[in-house]
Amino acid sequence: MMKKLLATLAICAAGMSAVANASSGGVTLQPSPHDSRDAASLQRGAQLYVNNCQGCHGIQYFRYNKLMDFGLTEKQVMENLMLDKSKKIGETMQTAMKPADAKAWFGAMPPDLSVITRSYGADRLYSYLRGFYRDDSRPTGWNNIVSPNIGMPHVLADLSGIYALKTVTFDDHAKAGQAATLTKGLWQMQDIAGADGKVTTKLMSVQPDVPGKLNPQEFDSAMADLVNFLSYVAEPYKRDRVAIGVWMMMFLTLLAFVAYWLKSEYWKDIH
Amino acid sequence: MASPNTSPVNTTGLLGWVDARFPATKMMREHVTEYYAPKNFNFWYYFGSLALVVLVIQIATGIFLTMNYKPDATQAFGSVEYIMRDVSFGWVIRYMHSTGASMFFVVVYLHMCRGLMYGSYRKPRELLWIFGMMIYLCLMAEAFLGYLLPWGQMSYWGAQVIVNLFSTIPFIGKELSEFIRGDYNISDVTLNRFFAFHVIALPLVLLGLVAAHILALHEVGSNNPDGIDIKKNKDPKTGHPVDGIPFHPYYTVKDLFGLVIFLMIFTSIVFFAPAMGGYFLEDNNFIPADPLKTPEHIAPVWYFTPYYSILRAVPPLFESQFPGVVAMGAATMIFFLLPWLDKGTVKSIRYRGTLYKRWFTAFIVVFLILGYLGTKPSNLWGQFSNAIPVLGGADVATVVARVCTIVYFLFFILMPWYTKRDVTKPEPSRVTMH
Repeated sequence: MMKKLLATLAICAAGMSAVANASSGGVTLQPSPHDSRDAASLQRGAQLYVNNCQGCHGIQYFRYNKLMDFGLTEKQVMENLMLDKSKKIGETMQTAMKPADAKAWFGAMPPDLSVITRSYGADRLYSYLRGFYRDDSRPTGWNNIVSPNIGMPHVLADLSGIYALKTVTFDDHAKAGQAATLTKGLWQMQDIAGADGKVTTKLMSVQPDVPGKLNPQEFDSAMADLVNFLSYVAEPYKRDRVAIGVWMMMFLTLLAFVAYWLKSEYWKDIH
Repeated sequence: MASPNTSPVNTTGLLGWVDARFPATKMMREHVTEYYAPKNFNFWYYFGSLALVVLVIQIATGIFLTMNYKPDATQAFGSVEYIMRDVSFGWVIRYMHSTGASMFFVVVYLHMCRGLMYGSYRKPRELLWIFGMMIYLCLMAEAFLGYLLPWGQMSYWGAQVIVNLFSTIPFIGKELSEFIRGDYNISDVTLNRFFAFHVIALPLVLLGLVAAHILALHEVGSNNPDGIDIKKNKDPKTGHPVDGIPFHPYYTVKDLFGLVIFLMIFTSIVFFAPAMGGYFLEDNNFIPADPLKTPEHIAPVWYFTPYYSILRAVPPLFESQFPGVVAMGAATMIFFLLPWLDKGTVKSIRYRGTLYKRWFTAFIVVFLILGYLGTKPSNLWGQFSNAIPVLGGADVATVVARVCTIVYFLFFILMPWYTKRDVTKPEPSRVTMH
């Protein structure tokens, strides 16, 4: 009876997850290739953040001295990564932008990035950072394939160069899908039903147009560093968490054997 | 200077002195060492003691969280991050509390499922079941109130949606919801009162109910997987049930083993997947509450989703969501009636006929489907083609949720009929060990 019930439940659960996988629309995200144990990557990411992001986005829950967790010295942090010299090493990394100015310039305060990878996701962030393209219809001159019509301009354009949105129309969905797998940049497919009922598929992809200081591979790698750093900022205790977790599991496994042995010893005479 | 030993339990020394003045040994015997429980408890009987352990975890971690949390709309979100980053081992405490909230419901749902399977709500355990249901309702309120405290987007908008449910009540709704919030919107005032209720009011009620639940259990004795009364067959010499064994040491050591296994699961969530893929800690709750920005998709935490699905499934009447709110309320309250709806001649599912087994399986399946649908937007499976009569254009998921809601209620409403009509198997005279 029990087994039959559990089997039924398992089948239901499997069916549900299959349905869940089938239903994701919009842009296809690309996984961030960062390695959270790579200290050099974290250091490069911190540098990118301080030079390009901190002007507008704070990480108000992260302290400067936490930058020393991945191999930087106090002197390096103070001299290279602390732009406001009136700060102390134990202070949090806030933005210099005042909310009133932000309101006047962008209409809203740019979000704090302390836990951005936890709400937005590291892969989405990695795709977003590489998803900017030129769009003259927007007030900033930029648009983004991951977050369409976002208010943020492409601040890293000097590094990445300028990308353009390339649209190719296919008369069949499968062909568009094949072309998409060969696309290097971020892409999105859209089925459009014509007046005659015939469905065509638009494949939109972000493609390099004007080269920047970095080539596309170098820029992607830099963005992975930045995502790596922001993921670290979101959960600086993550390494401790996993390390302690492993010890906890080993202890509990041992305890489980002892508890089972104790139980069987007491229950020997119960039939 | 011989003082007469007035202790009724023949203890001496310090314990004798205490026992003459307080029923320490008497209570210990009644509830632990001489509480005779059936010897055939299986896997499903771990969850009662586990629920108690989770309650203790929640209270202990809650005390430490309160030391650093700020119930203030401008500081709440930041104080949680402060706990996670700057308080020594604060992240362990916070993750234990957030995981504990979800695991409490996992354990309680399994505990209730056990009650359904083995007929633990049947006479003479009606009041025991009612106390249990009151614990469940209290727990839902406690979880809802606590969820506002991190002051993220889901905290804020989830609370907004739930409190607005009260505003659908005819005539008094608007005033009632303002009375609950203490404001026209969820605000700092709401946060303060939710904090007070979460930290002291409801935990007190919960502890009282748990005490009543355990006292009621020990008064009538535990049910067992065979659903037969072990007190009918007592050893004439000792007066104890022949199929009963003292809770201590037998079930204390057995529950200890269950506890360690539970802690292995609990620990692996806390240390390796504290957000549980967005089910225990929702992604959007890492964005600070913004009263001006409504999230695209507001989903309650997983343990409320079966009821949220029922709420969404019921169509509005005269542009009012009130019927849905009533259905959702009824879906939780109907459990109270179980002891009187079940007319079966046997208690345990082991000896019930196929009729009950099919209804029970259907109920569990629709409960899970409703729970799943509640986490997703209602356009999840698209719409029916317009070519189909009646259903054309309707959201597939909504129609599925409606069918599930009907099955959910039929399980209860038809219970007197199908339990009476069911062809049951004969119950054994002694408990069976598997």
